[in-house]
Formats: sequence, structure tokens, C-alpha cells
Amino acid sequence: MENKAKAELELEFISSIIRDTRKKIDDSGLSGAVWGSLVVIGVMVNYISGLTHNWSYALYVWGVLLAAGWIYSFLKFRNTRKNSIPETFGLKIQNALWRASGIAMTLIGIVCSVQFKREVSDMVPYSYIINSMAIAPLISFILGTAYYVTGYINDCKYTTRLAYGWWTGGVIIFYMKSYNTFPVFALMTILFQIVPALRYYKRSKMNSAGK
Amino acid sequence: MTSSEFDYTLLDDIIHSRIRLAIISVLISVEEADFNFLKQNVNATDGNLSIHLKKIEEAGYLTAEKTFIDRKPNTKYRLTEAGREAFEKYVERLEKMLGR
Repeated sequence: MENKAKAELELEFISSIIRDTRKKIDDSGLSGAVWGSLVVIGVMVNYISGLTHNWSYALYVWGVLLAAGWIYSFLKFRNTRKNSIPETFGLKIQNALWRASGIAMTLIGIVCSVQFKREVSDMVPYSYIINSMAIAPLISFILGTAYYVTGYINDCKYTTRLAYGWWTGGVIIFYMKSYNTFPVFALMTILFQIVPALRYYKRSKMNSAGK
Repeated sequence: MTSSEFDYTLLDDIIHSRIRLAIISVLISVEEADFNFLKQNVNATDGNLSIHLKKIEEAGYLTAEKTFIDRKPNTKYRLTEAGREAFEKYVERLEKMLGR
């Protein structure tokens, strides 16, 4: 009887240590909300620039937004390292995937924006390989891939389903031929990135509080 | 042997200590952790933690890898295959006692 009580306590102790450790390494999801919000601002600046035919500031705004996003990501990475927060193998792959996707999206953003600036100035484009309006669908496809793999790693169907949203939305905006691609892309970012990230953040905070 | 006549002394001595059990439970959850992270999660003093880590290492249940981060020494600990198996066996025995 005494042995049973001891065994019960021991198992409870093991579970509590594992639970507490996982809470500490759990990503809050805040990065998704921060990056998503920056993208929504940038895309809406593009939309307004398109409507007013004034593209003087769009490229600079994107420069500031991207710099802010990367500074935030760098500070977060430094904080993780400072607090000795370890990464599981799955988390390492996930972080590498999002870093690589982030770099690819930044490059697409820069290339397409440079191209766009030349197009609206009636200048000869640097390259005919990529159309400036391809920025939103291309980024949507990359985000879809990143969400799909993240959902697969974490065995989370909700995250995997977000990928289908990004891919479908990407195809739809690929066929749109006006500046309306920008608000549609902003709406997609809110629905498939910011809202899920905030939902995840709320759940992570509740877990930390032990609720 | 039935669960009621289970001998508690059959449990692995290396794991059957609160602090060492806590260390192994943390390492089971994260695969790899440094000294500071273990200290925070196990609530142990530096000296106490070092002694127990050494004991687990001597039993062949974990490996320590010394590296430098920003020119500061950093030791990372990781469970060995033997350590994982011993932990699994330990949990199995506890569950057996409870008839699960």
C-alpha cells in the first residue's frame, strides 16, 4: 500500500517536471503575430500607393518594416540563447524552416519591389523572370509550405489546415489583375497568420499560468 | 510477482533519487540542455547539481559536451540510449506497481 502511494507520487513528480519543462520551451507564437502585423502594414501601404499613384514611400516603408521584423527576430533569438532555452530536434527543424522561409520571402519582397519601382517609373525592368505583382502569390505559397511542415512536425491539424488557406488564397490572388491583391493578401495574413498566432499565444499564456 | 508484493528496492538506484529523477525527466523532454537550464528546472544549487550530474554520467546515462557561447564556457547534457532505456524501465516498473 505504501509502495503504491510512493509510486503514484513518483509518477506525478515525473509528469510535473516534463510538463513544466515543455511549457518553458514552448514557442509563444508571438513572432507570427509581429511579422504578420508588419506585413499587413506594408501591404496596405502598397495598396494606398497604388490607388494614389504615388510610390515614393512604399519601398522605404518596406525597408523599415523588414528591418524591424529582423531586429525583433534577432532579439528573440538572443533572449532564447541568454536564458539557455534548449531546442528539441523538432523545434530546431521548425526554426530553421521559418528562418529559411523568412529569408526567401524577404528576397522575393525586395526583388519584386525593385522591379515594381521600375515598372511604375516606365523604366526597363532589371529582369523579365519575375513580375512585380507575383509578390503576394509567391509569398502565400511559401507560407503555405512553412505552415504545412510546422503542422506536420507538431502533429497539429489546425496548423496544417492553414497551409491550404495560404495555397488556395495564393492561387486566387495569382489571377487577380489589380491592386486589390494587396488587401486580399492583408486579409489572408490576418486570418491565416495573426489570428492563429494570437490564439496560440493566448493558449501558451494560459499554460504558463497553469490553467 | 504480483504488484502487491513488488519490491521497491528493485528500482534503479541511479534514477531513484528526487534530484536525479528530475534531471533525467528534464532531459527526456528536451533532448539536450545546458547547466543553467537544468539548474532552473531542477531547483538545485550549482554544487549539488554538479555532483548528481557526475553520478548520472558515471552510470553511463548521460553525456556532457563542453562548448563556448560568446567566449563563455557552456556544458550541454544529453541522455544516452542507456539512460533513456533505464528511464523507460523505471517508469514501467512504477506503473506495474500501480497495476497499470
